[in-house]
Amino acid sequence: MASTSESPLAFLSKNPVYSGLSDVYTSFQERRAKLGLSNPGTVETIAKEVQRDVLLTNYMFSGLRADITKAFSLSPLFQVSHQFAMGERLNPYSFASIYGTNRVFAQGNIDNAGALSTRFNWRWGPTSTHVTKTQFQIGTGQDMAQFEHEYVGNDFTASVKTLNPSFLDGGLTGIVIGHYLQSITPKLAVGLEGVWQRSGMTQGPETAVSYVARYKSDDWVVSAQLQAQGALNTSFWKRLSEKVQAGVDMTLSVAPGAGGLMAGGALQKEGITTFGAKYDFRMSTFRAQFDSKGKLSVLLEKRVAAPVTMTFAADVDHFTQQTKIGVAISIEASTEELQDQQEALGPQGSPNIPF
Amino acid sequence: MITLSEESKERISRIIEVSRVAIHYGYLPLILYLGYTRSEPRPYLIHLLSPLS
Repeated sequence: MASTSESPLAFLSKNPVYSGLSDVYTSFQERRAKLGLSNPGTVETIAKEVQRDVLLTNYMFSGLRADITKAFSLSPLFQVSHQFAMGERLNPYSFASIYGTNRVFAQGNIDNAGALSTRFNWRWGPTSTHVTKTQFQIGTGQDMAQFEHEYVGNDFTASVKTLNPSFLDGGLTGIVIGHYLQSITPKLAVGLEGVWQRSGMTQGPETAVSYVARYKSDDWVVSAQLQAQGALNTSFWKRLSEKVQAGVDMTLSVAPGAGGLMAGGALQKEGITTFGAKYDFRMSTFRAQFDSKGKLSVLLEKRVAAPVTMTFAADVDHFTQQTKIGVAISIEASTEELQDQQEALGPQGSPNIPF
Repeated sequence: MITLSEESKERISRIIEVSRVAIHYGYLPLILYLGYTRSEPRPYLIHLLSPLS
């Protein structure tokens, strides 16, 4: 039996079953560490090179826009920005502010109608890999609350996210999403995403699982996501030269027709393919894309002077004969002390903000 | 499943409503306060709020 100097629970860690399991676990972790796998990113950003960098869909706007961003401090990061705009789906005025340190990232954005959207990310310790993120949207008519916890391991990323969770109806309602992405070889990562959804207690819950894979080579990346409803999204990105990147994004969905499968409706196939390219010049960035629905879009960002950037966006839909044009000016104002501070800090000095 | 009494449901709804209002009016001032007190050098308040300065 355990001697008097040991704690009464020592038998839990001294028995052969525990030490056997612990040995297996330790050797498994050692072998895993020897593979030298890197973190694959998150499931949501598996196609980020194409969808966020090359394609300009996220940057497209129409009308006039002016942004004034004022940075007050770099460590902690603190900046406020004012945005004035005219055009469809653009608010006449909005105000945003950002505060970030090693552990906290807080962002808030309010528009002239009083709709507020917030983000608050909290890292559990200065170098911890656990990050909890919350997001609220208030005053938009459809209030939204989102809570996410993310764990970034050496060779995997796991996260659990809930949207509008509620127990008030007598059971759990809302949306719960789980993500897991694991590197298998230094280049290949696979993962899955599970969605559980229940909009009210009168309806049963719905679940869906989608599978993702991402292969990253030296200068090209290919990714695929197979969704539960039968939609497939694939993307291919390649760096053509130091200043040119190109990408293709394809979405194919096979959905039951209007009558549904039971009514004998034919399967409706829909697909869209987008080709895009991005050129980085010394003082400007040019993006162009063309999709299989006949839409051609271009976006030019040009740095006119050190703090002033002009953006021109144009979009022509050849099938519906619709065009959109947008012009934006953004000004980054910062004080002289801040520039000195930036030089003093150097690239290593900026905080590692949990975005 | 967890079953809540009517009373506690009402209380939770009240808490959610109050925190909704608190976030709506308090979140941006909180960020501005944090940034204003912790940035070095301290910015002028007028620069913080006015777009034209």
